Amino acid sequence: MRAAAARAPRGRSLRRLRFVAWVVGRNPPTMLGLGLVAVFLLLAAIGPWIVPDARDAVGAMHLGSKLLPPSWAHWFGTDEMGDDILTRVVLATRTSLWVGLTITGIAIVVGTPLGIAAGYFGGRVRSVIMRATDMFLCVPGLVLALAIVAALGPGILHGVVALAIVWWPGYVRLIEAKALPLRGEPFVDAARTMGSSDLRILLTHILPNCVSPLVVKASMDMGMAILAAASLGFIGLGAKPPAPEWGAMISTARSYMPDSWWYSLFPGLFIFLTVLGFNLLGDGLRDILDPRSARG
Amino acid sequence: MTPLLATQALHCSFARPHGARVKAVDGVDLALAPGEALGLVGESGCGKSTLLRLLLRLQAAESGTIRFAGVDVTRATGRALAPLRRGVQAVFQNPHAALDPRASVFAAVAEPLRIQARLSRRALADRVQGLLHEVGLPAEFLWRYPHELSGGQKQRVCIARALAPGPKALLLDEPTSALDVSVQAQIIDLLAALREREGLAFLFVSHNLAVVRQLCDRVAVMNAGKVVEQGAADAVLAHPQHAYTRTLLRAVLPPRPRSLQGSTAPGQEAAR
Repeated sequence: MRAAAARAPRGRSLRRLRFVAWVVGRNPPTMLGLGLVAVFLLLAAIGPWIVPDARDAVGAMHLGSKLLPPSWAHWFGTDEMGDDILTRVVLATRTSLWVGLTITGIAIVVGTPLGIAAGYFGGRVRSVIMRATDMFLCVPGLVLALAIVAALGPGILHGVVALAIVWWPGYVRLIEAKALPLRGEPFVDAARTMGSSDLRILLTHILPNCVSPLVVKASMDMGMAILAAASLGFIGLGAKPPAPEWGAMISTARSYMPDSWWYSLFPGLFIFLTVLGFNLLGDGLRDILDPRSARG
Repeated sequence: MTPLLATQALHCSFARPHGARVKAVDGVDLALAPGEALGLVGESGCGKSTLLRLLLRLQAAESGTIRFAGVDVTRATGRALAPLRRGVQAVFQNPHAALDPRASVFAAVAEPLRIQARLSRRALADRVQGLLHEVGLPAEFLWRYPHELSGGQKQRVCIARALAPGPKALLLDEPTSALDVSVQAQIIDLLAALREREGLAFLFVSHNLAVVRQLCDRVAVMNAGKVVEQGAADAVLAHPQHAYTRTLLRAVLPPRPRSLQGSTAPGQEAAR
């Protein structure tokens, strides 16, 4: 009997996995999103080993092959330094992934505890947290980024810090709204009558019930953060040249429009597809993470 | 004998939108003896559920005292509250909301054990299975989630969870009112059997006077936050002394189902 009980969860998780595969399988947009995100992650992981010439990302110059249109030798053409745009675009995925993960990660780590605390405790705790959140919501991200970069000097890290500062309030808002009705639920009362501490209730009941909107928002925010980082790069606050960054590439490419259209098209396409991928995946996760949809 | 759970002059009120206060519990003296089943009846909004929440320390009393086994726990916290948390457990009205949708049956029933007892994984699994068996659920339910269970099954899980700490008293807040009639009878039978086996005391809040008569030794009638009448269940329900009790009894729709007739004789519920 005990053996059966111990085995059961494994069978369940397998069924759960099959259920997820089934949901994704019959939902083409989610599949597309998952595919795009997978390609993005793959490029970030193995980029340096598959590009034609990784040195093009660290300032190599080939002045003989400036601004060549797409060809068999250079699929995405070359830029004003003669560097292969495919190489630079692929190697920039790592920067974007890093930026997206850092901004979203900091926002979750800061926003989630504040959100569940505000929703669960209510009263004065909630007022203090939510008013502080409102204050940070009023800070315009790009302007703050400009200020921080002006104070600390350019560099992608400073831009990321600025964006992280304005990013976490969204999580507080989301989680607080989700946690607020939970605190009156009978299962929370039941946990209290068992002698459960507030911390334990927060971790075992409130947080798990907030996870699905959290994951959905995190997935979409990966896209948004990558877009925001590209904007920083575009206005010159991102990666320092010659390090490749999508937004910075488009910014430089602007001066070569419209003759060298390939220069701005391909970085733009990568931004577009990455953001699209994370958004579609987020939508799909919403369906998968609803416990009532799990018939597994 | 010291009552297991007793209140003295217990008060609790709520603010209304226009400054007035509603006295939800207005000077209640009530005592629950060990092993006794006390029915608490009264119309909706009379303060039954609030009284239960006060007894469970889910809500703070304004004045008065709550004693558990003779010890004042009205404002106890932390370690001083532990005996009450072990000794008194609750089964709530709506089993659909009383279980965390993200927790499996195993997690729900194991929760009080994880909080209150230090058991090895194996001992925990054995105990949870034993509890499920006690409430009549087979072991295959262990890894199901609440949305995969019927209302009656959920309420059985809630009862198993309430039994886990080994309580001396169960506070039951209309435990059957959210269930189908046929399932209600099963749950009532289960509760009666558990009470007999474990020697539990019940504080049973219900609208259903027939069930109270069947399950309870004594009954207390509440109206507008006050206990207006209490005594042996048969006596109070057969010969009500207070005008409100008479009104309440008249509100019950006759005729009573035949299956419940005759269940008023003392001792008979134990035989079921």
